[in-house]
Amino acid sequence: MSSGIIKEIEKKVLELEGLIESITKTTIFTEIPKKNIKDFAKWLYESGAFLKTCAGVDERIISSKLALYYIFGLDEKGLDVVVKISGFEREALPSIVDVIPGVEWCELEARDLVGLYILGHEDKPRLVLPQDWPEDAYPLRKDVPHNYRPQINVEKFSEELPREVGLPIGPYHPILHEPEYFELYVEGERVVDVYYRGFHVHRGIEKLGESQRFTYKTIPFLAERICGICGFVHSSCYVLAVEKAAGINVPERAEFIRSILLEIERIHSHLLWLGVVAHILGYDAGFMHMWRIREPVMVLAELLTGSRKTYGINIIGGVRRDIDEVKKLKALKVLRSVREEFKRFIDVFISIPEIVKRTTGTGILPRDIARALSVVGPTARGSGLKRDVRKDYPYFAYKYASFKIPVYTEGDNLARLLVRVDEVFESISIIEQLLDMLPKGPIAVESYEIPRLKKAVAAVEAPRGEDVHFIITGLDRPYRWKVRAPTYQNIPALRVMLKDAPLADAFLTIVSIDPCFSCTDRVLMVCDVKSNSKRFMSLFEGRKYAVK
Amino acid sequence: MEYINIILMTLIPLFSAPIYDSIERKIKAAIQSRIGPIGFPRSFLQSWFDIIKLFNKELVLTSYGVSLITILELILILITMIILQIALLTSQLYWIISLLITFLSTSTAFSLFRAILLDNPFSSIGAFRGFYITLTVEGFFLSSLIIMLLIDVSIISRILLFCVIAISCYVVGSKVPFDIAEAEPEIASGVYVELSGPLLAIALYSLQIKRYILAQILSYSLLKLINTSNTSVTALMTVLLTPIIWMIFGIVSAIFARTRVDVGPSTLLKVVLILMLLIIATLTVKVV
Repeated sequence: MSSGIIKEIEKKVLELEGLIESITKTTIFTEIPKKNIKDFAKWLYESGAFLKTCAGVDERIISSKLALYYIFGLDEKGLDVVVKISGFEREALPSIVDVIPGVEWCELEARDLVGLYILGHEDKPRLVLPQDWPEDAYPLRKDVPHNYRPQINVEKFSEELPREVGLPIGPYHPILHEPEYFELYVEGERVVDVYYRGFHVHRGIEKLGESQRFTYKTIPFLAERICGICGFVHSSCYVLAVEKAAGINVPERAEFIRSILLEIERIHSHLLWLGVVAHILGYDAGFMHMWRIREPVMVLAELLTGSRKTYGINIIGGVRRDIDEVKKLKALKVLRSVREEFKRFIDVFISIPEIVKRTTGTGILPRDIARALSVVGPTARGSGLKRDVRKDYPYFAYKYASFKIPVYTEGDNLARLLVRVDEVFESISIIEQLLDMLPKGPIAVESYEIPRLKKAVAAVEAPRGEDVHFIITGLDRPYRWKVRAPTYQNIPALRVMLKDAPLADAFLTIVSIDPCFSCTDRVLMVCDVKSNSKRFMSLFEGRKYAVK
Repeated sequence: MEYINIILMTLIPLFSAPIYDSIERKIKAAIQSRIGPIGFPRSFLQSWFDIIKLFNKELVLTSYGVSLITILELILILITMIILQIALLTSQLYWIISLLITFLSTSTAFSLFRAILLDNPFSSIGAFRGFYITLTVEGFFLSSLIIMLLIDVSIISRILLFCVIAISCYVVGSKVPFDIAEAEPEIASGVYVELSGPLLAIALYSLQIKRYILAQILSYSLLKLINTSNTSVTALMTVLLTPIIWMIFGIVSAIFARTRVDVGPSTLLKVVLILMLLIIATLTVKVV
């Protein structure tokens, strides 16, 4: 990390009457007066920073205030900048959405879950909580127990349904593997507008992690269950955040093992996605063959971790399972065969005229909008943004591996597809390199201490893009644990990608960001107190509260 | 004797269409590196099992009109099939051919009417997509069929006519890449979205019979191409060729991806138009 940029940031912070809380190897923590946050955010954005996320924190126990942490990443410098603004309860905080459009969702989330009063969002419908959730009940506040079940005003359910209905896709639809709601407005076969309502499968994972039910040691297993495809990314990101906050030096061998498994996860995720795309385009032979090629990768994961998915080997300070010489040789053999088979099949796959025609020039996300929305992963790289946490903020053993970041500038569905194809080859190469270099030594630290009220930001490159975990340490468990999945950052871009595109390519475009709704969603299950039944929001409620 | 032949020829498609569909599924499974229907009887009878299972499922009716039109659609398809069998056995009857053409086009249109009459956006969009595809080939298909069956033309013209008929039979049979009326994921089964249980079974059975008819028409056209004149041999050969044509269609559909709604019909139209122009040219040359 260059000291020049740190000095520049320090100078700007002082100029804006702020203060530097602390500086670590990869992060600067600052606090800025709320009146100057827009200027600072603008300056950071113009200096090349991307918005990673923002997190509302109930700090009333510590400072009698509610705080909002904006997390920016200066990718080119490998530096995170965490900017805190705070205010007393019901004190207005400014929004920076007019400077950085990509911040809207996390500000709305902080408003819904922590009860921050953010100017400019007063009239917007709830993003995360259902509309009939009681006023003044903010689930992520410290005085709200994790098992809190509010009384719901059931009368609100029967409000008149909207008269105009577009083409509804979801919350339950054959093409969506998880509940999510898109409503497409069409003129003929052309999409003219899109409404989106997500957050149907919230499981309160952040709140659980902060509750008495979990401790630092057990949270990795909870984090791994955030996603059914890239769960290891979440547990890795969590342990990385805690290790950064506590200053734990993880043995090198453990870092290698983590990186190897992260790449295995990327390969199986991309192959799964390519299969799904083939299926959507009616090329079922491609779907089946892609998943056939993927199968040995799943078996390899089982060989190395004991599980095909949800590996469960991450612990704070290391990993629970080692890779011996026999496993290493088997892994190398499997990777050789996967590379050959994938090479052979992908050449056929991307030469099928229908696949090329349907992906070329559809779902275009221009580079400038991708930048403004701070999109991540293959969605960003397909729009010409060279963003990859593995290179920008090297973690675990990635600094030892040589690999390229595939970037395409077209911004269409084909570009995102080709990014993933190239990444499969790169991931195979990374695993081979790391297996060859696997150092000897322990796989976990023997003991560690986690001090209280330390902050850390960790980012891990998931198959869908940058996964971010923000932690404020507490006693035996995090005081605040914020998870930002990559899809969370990419979904707002869909509105741009879907608008004025053919209806038949709409779902391909939705799938092109490889959405993972279980990672992203946060709406609570609604409990009907009269009938004592539980339910999720209905399709029409979803539409009614769609975020424009 | 002729009546017995007609009855036999009529009964064969009724039973064999779902069987051919099952075999096609097994072949596709092999191409796609999966197992498909398991076991000896299921490899041949899976589609029958599916139809029976659907008949035992609950019927959820969104309107009585849907059920009426679906049943009428099956009846029309069956009439078309019977007329085709009569045409095969008595190929000299012009009025039979005319009747076949009439019912063939009516039954195709009927299935789309069913979808368009429903108050469901998925169904309406699917139906319109079906119209694009059908309108692109229907006119050329039927006119080529008439020329092929009723007029004595040169071998080059016959080859070109056969190409138009082959393409049309494949397209009208709603195979990949032309299954945009029902298989595009965003329209959630499109023209079939409102059908459930027994009605879906009837609609699927109608589709299978329709595919049989199209495969049989193509088989018959192939025999016309090579100028087979003996009626009973033609009928027998048609029955034998039909499953082969069906399987070839199945294999072709397994190696394609679905076409784009706007690109597919226009490309198809260009190809068929070129073929038709060549046909007109060859016919004109012969006349001159």
